Amino acid sequence: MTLKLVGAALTVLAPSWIGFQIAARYGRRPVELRGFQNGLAVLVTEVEYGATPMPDALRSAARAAGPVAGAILADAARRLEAGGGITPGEALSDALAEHRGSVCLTPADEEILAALFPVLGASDRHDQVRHLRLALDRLAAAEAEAADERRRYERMYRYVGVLSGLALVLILM
Amino acid sequence: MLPEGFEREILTYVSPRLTGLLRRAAEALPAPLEEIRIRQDRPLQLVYPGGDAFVAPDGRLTADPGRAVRPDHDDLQRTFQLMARGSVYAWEEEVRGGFLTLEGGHRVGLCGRAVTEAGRIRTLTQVASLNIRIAREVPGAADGLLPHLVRGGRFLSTLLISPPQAGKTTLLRDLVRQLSAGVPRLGLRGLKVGLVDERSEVAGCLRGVPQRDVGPRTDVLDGCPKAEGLMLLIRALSPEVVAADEIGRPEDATAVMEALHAGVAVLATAHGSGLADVRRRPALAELLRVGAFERAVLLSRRRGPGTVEAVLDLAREVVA
Repeated sequence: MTLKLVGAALTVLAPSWIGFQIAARYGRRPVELRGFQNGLAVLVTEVEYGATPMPDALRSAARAAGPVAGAILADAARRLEAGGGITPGEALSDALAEHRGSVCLTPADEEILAALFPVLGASDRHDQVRHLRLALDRLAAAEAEAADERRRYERMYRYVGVLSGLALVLILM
Repeated sequence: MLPEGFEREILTYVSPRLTGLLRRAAEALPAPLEEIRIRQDRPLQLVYPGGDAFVAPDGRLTADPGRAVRPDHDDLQRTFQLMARGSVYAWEEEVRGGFLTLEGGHRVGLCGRAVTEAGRIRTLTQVASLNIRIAREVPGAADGLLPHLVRGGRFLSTLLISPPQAGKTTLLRDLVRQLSAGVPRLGLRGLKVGLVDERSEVAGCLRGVPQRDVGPRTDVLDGCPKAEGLMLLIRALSPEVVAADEIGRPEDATAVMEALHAGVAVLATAHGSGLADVRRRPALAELLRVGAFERAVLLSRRRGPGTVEAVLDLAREVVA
């Protein structure tokens, strides 16, 4: 009997855990998108008013961008300072690729960043700010969509996990 | 022959695809490298005193542009971005003026597509030509000249007259350095020198800090129009000598007169192949007429850049 109970508990827990994991991804995406927006907003200020060199600008953006986006921006600053003939765009793309496992962005989100990165540092202030603002607008739209999905799916996946676990127990009993 | 600091000050900022080629080619040159000219989809060219050569795809020198390596779009953009240290926006003024300055005072001329606004260049995009001018310091270039410009421990106001590329900037820099450091053998103590470096060529400033040796008592006003700069220096920094490259406009002349009235000696250069050339330019002619300069130095390329043809005592017009 005890064995049966333990088995049943495990049967409920495993799918629940999967459900919670999927739900968590829905929860983290808007937070990460917001992080990138905070970082880019700092970059706008650094570029527009400070004319700060790129590595320093990336580093202060990293401080405002939260853990996930911040790690990527800081990594890009490190790569850029290491030299070796790479551009800021390449440093950022490499950093994003390196951290891909730990971010919850969709391919569409990454596309927004991939469109921005090659331009960064490559043109005058006016042009930089224009590109940064465009990326900010697109990220904000993506964040709104992500928040909407979160509202719809986050709780649903938790329920689905737990309920499918329970259903499995019922079927097996 | 590789110039000093070539690897660190220049090759670091060139597209990695070209660095190996440039290193090999520059080593094979018969004379010190003067310029590296990188043009998109056109032959890679090196310039040295007295000639030029193209770089073949194996890094050897060739005279035939058809056999030379042709840098592509990525090479140009990457090199430009590296030279701007990944922050083109931070060098907006410089890019607008058509050049960047590298550490070591090397200057990079830029060409591409100009974006204009109300008739003025707002910025350059699609940079398609880069001209890296290797800065060479020649300490002691003015050793032979300086004794003629000093009398009784006092520096006499001097105008260096020279055709282009005859070493007038190099000479000006060394004069500034020696005046600033002082020359005991001439009984000249170190003087406070104010230098207006409109095109950042004399001191090669990077973020306001001179990259070339211009002496311990020299203040450099970088990127400033000469007339306004001279006035500022006289007003604010109590110099004993003011120096400026390539004067010639009426407002420059006014500023030089202002300096002389303030008891400040003037060291300046002007384009021309002789005194007659200079006299044809109204502003300079006026300066010479009122005796603003006590010495004029004529330069040429006859025995290489920096050949001193004559030193004229303008008070007496005697050739020294």
